[in-house]
Amino acid sequence: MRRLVQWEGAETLPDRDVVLRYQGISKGREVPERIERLYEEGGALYLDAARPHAVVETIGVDRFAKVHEGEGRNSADSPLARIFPRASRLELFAATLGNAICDDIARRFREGDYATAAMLDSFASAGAEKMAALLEEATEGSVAGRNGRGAAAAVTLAYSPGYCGWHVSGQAKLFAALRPAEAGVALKEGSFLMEPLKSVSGVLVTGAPALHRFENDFPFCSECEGKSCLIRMRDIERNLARHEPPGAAGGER
Amino acid sequence: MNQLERIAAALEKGEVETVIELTNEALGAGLDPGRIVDDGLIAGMTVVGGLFRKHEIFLPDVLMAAKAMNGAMEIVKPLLTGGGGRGLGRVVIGTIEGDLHDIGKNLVGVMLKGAGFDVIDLGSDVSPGRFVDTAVESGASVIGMSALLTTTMANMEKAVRLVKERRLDEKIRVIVGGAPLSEEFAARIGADAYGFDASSAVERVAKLVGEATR
Repeated sequence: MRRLVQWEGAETLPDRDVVLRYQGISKGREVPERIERLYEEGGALYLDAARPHAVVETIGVDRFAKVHEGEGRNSADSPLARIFPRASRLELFAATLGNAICDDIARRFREGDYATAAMLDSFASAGAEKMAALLEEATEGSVAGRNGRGAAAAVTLAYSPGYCGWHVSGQAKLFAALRPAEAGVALKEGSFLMEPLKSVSGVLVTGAPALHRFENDFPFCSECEGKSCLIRMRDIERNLARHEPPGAAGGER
Repeated sequence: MNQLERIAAALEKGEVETVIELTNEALGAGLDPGRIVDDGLIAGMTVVGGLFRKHEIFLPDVLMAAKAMNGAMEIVKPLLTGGGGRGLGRVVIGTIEGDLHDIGKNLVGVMLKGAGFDVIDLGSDVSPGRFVDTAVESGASVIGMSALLTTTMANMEKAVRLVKERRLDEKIRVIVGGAPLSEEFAARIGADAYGFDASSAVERVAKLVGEATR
């Protein structure tokens, strides 16, 4: 199944904390008035320029195994390699905020308007994350609705080439399989990078919550600054605690 | 507070118009353009860098100061000896092949220009060969590479190896930076320096330029 998704800019407007984190301002720190003004300006520019849309396509495990293999440059072991064969649903996706916002950021940098450019860049980076989160939610919601089960029965998380042992060269096979040109996303010629720049791609992996649990002790984990896997796993645990009776969250169902 | 201190203070606050106005006033009063740069603009920017490193100010503050610095440099630059700039050195920067994250690299570029370096920005997804070829062709003494993805960091090593294979390591020094990198990683791949953040990158580059042209 293949679907095209189009959002209003406001739907993908990222959370303030995430934008400010990109600016190096941690949650809870007092934000000076001049930076508040810059934040407001960045948000207005984002709403003006963002044209968020995506393409999503279901893919079988065997076919995805070939996509995931990419050019044979993945780490010998990785979370995704262990996770995807046990998924109940896999979907390739590519989402973009469009060219206008990228052009605006580049122009502002060129013209020396660095602070605004960097703020808009933060909005756009966080907006790309938000698109992936919205796709996760949509799949999760549809699976939960179809099964008539609670929201924690299945968890969908996005995994992207370039992260957690999936080599960035995996983009080539992902794009060959997904053909996301109709959503306005392409790989740069001779490269694994996306155009427009503020885009996100990968696979949406759906399965029992425990599917996404792993110890972050892979060789590449020591070089990872973000450790977003820990946040994702913590969120799963919180969801489980909210939706399931004590003792029900231990393993796969 | 003298005129140069006032320039530095306005720059620290990111007051673009004031910095430009004070710079024009200083030039009008016959102050040496080199002193305006060293004791006004760079002095202010050094304070900004220090405050940023101590987490006392935020990234937008640094960028507003950099904007003020560049605005003033546009006025002063043509008046410096030689007319083409401060001659602090030429630096080729870019995000390494396979990586599109360029905000950190852009910040380093802004700060380097602000400090008076001649910067050639190759953008993102830059191959090791292109880094080296551009440095050779342009006479740059430092290559600065940035990465965010752990999977693209390995390409930095290729660039370092290329510099050594072509026996350019006495003339061209390499600095690397980016969120997943560390001093240890830089040493492991044979880079000459690691820039923890944009302001430390500028300090390291200044040192590398001195070494490379010795």
